[in-house]
Amino acid sequence: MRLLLGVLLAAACERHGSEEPVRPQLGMRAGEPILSAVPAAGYRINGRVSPALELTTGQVIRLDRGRRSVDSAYFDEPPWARVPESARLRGTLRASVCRTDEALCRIAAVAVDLRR
Amino acid sequence: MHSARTAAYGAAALLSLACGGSAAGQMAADGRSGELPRPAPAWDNASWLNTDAPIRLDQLRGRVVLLNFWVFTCGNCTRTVPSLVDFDRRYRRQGLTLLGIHTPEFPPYAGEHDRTNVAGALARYGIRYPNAQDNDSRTWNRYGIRYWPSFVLIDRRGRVRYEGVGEFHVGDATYATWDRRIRVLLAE
Repeated sequence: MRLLLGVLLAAACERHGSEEPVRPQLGMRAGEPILSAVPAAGYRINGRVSPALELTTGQVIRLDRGRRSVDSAYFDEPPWARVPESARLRGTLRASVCRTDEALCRIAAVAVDLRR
Repeated sequence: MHSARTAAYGAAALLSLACGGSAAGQMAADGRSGELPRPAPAWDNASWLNTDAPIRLDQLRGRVVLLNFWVFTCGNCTRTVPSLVDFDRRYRRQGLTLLGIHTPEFPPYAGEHDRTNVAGALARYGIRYPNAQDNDSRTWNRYGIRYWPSFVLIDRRGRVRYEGVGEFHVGDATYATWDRRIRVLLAE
């Protein structure tokens, strides 16, 4: 019985999960450091308003590079932006996200503290 | 049998406790933020487009009001516009007032707060019904809105009767549902 309850709890909670709909990811592109916004499984990122990294310094980095869908409504790949070589990126990543099983947009704001 | 049923209820109760936040999220996704009907909150947006003067809720007593919370950067919102334009065309003379409540998703740096950009979107999508700029999200918050697009249908007595979220298109099932709701309220 305990096992059954455990399995039930795990299955039900996993569906909604605590995973953020988008996560920041540092990487390299053409030899330069970039920051990408990677959508969680089942989510798309709105292509008409690019994600933004709002740094605690007040600077805003728009992640506006990346292939969009034909109607420009969504990013077909994680949007990205070049970031300074040796910077610590601390702030909030803001993105408009759309779950593929819904027909609506919602805002996601994720705390970011990344070092290269 | 009895013990199995008891166990099932117990599991359901545990699930409810363990996933309480998710359950609340599900309610919001259904577009419900409280008991219906209830008095529609007044709004006091100062910046309007497609009208000569700001429109207040108390001026609309006797009319059915459909509020559309949207933002021009939301594809789900703009793809729903043809349905709203159609409702406006078909029912305005019968007593429907359609109002757009343009609520930005992003801070001002994204351009969603810019009146010129909103005006451009209204022209681009053929929107002739009034639109309020809700740049501080005050009306959005008063109505407990969480998603773009959202819809609130208010009856002739100023009561919220129906709420909903999500894109729909002329002729689909959701369009038919809103169409029926509008006709029900217009007939009262």
